[in-house]
Amino acid sequence: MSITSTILGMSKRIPWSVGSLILYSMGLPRGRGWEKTIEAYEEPTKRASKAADDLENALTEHALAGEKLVRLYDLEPTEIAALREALKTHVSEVPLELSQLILDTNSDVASAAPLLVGVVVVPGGIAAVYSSIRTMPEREALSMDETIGETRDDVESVFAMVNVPYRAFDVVFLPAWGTRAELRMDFPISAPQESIALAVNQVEVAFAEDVGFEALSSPTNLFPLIDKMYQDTAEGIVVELHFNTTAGSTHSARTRRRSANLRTDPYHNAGVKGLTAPIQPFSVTIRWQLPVDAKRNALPELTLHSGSAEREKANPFLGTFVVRRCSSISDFDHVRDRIHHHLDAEQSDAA
Amino acid sequence: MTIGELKEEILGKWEGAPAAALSVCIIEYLASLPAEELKFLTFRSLAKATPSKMVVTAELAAAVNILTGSLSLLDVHGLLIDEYEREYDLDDDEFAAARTTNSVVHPETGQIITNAAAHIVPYFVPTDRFYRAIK
Amino acid sequence: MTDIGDRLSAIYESLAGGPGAVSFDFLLSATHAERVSVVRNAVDFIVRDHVQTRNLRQGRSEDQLTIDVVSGLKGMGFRAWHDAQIGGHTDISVEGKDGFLWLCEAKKHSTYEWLLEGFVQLGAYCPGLEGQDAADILIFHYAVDSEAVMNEWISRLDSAGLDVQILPHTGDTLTRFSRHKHLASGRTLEFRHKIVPLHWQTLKASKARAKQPKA
Repeated sequence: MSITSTILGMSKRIPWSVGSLILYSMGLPRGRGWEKTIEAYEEPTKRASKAADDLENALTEHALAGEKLVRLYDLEPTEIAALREALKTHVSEVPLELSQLILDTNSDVASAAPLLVGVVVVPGGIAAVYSSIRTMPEREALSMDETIGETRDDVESVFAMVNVPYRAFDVVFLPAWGTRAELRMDFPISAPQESIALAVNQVEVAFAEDVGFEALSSPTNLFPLIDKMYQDTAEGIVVELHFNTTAGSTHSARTRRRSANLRTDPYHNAGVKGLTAPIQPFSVTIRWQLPVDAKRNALPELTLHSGSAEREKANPFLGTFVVRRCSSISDFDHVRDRIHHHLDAEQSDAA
Repeated sequence: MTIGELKEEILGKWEGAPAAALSVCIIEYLASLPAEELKFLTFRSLAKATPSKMVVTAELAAAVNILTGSLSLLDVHGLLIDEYEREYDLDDDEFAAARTTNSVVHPETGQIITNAAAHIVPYFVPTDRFYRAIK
Repeated sequence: MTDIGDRLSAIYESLAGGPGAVSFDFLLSATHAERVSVVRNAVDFIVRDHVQTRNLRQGRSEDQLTIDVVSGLKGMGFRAWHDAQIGGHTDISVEGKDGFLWLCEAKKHSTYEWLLEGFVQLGAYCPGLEGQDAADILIFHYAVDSEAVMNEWISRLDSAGLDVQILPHTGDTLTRFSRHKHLASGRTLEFRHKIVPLHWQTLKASKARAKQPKA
């Protein structure tokens, strides 16, 4: 695999802030933005060429644990053992090389239905990788002349929402320990959540066919974690929060600065103190700082997002969480481990 | 250094400059706020600290220049607001590059946004030196 | 879009290219090279005003002229001072973040020897460290034809045996740049030479013609 197509593949999938951090951590050159970076690798240096495998590996890690919408499934020990056995028979003999696949969004492999492209063993577990083509809307400026001409003088610009196809990688991950399976759906920031909901079902079905039985049918309820993780002050920093109050209103708060924490925000806290009953969060985003070196941090983010009406129900349910801005599997694992920690505590409380 | 000494230093070093008195006003205003409310100060919000509640003027720019310069009481950073109104706190390197080239790399898409000045909000944050002085 | 007025473009629009824009440039500047360039813009701003109002500045001493520039810089919020004790003393010093220091010798033009002395002094006062390796020589000129004086000064500097590299001018013939090696640090110093034409005389056209240098 040439480093040129790996970089191109990265540019199609990885958020720039994450991609440039990956290049930085490998001591590789970066331009300003993807376009300049791609140019810089058109005639790669020896040093860059040597790093080709490492980069392809980083791209694979991103496909396994990059921008993801995740479901967890608490399985019986016998069930997950059977799944592990079934997956072992599919383990790929050659390493996954995803960049070519990423760049190819319209050939015959470009099916809408998820296709198993490989099963890989990574530290911590085994992952089945499904690939499909989905679309995300992108705003495109249109020529004024060709659209409305001179019929309107109050219009400054005209845009079209264009559905741009992208190669999605959805992953069923079985950890080497424990009984909690994961479904990690590709979830680029511009992708509409509805398109993912349909894809979740497709991957669950495809996986059931590949392993021979239906195991991923009832996702674990993550709703209680919204409160728990918001209230645990040791847990990263809270950058976004939506909540109901007993006064019957709904509020949203979001920090603007990277290092600011809503848990200690004065306006937020003054509002909260003015209430007689505790606030009832239904959506929270938490960010962690994981040092890459003395200068730079990876900033993985977790969102547990439900709705105001769900919060009011007797048994509110949330089946997914979203993880963004992971630069590696270990960033993702950090976030997922925090989820596990609170989920374990919740389940042992319930038991 | 106490806040009184700080004010004295400014009025001494910038003797005769109207901006000196203005920068002292800003210090007093910021010192009156809880530290948690000082995390995101736009240039216009500093204008509110001045006696006339004036809008952006050359004198205000000079006063903030005093506070951000060798006295090092305020640091400045940049926040990018994209066409979808999503906000991104910029790295200082990227903020500097955005100012000199008037283009900024979108942290998500990695695409260049031209006319960066129209998309960036500079904001100020008090330094440790400021907090030590107002203690 | 409530914060549209907080954006860089709106701030610069309010400051309308005036001295406030220079102040704002300086507070945003992140590198020493940027800082040098902004300080020089500030000096240009100030002396442009001095030239415009030169009828009011006749008969001012070198010290008074220097203080005028320092006051202008302080008014824009620069940490500037006059006659500081920097390895001896310079006429104007400006200090900034991260150890930034810009020095300036301000000379009322009398003889080229006087300018040369200023040049040598400035080189000696300059610490030569990073962010402290750029300086200006400001020449207040009360006689006619400042361009000719600048040309003569540059040619004398070139032939003074000081191993100075003269850079070609970039359009403005009243402003020139030179480089030479700093004695102590061995690093390259960059000096700007700027002449400020302050000649003022109300003349009738016929007399003005008579004053023109003969071809």
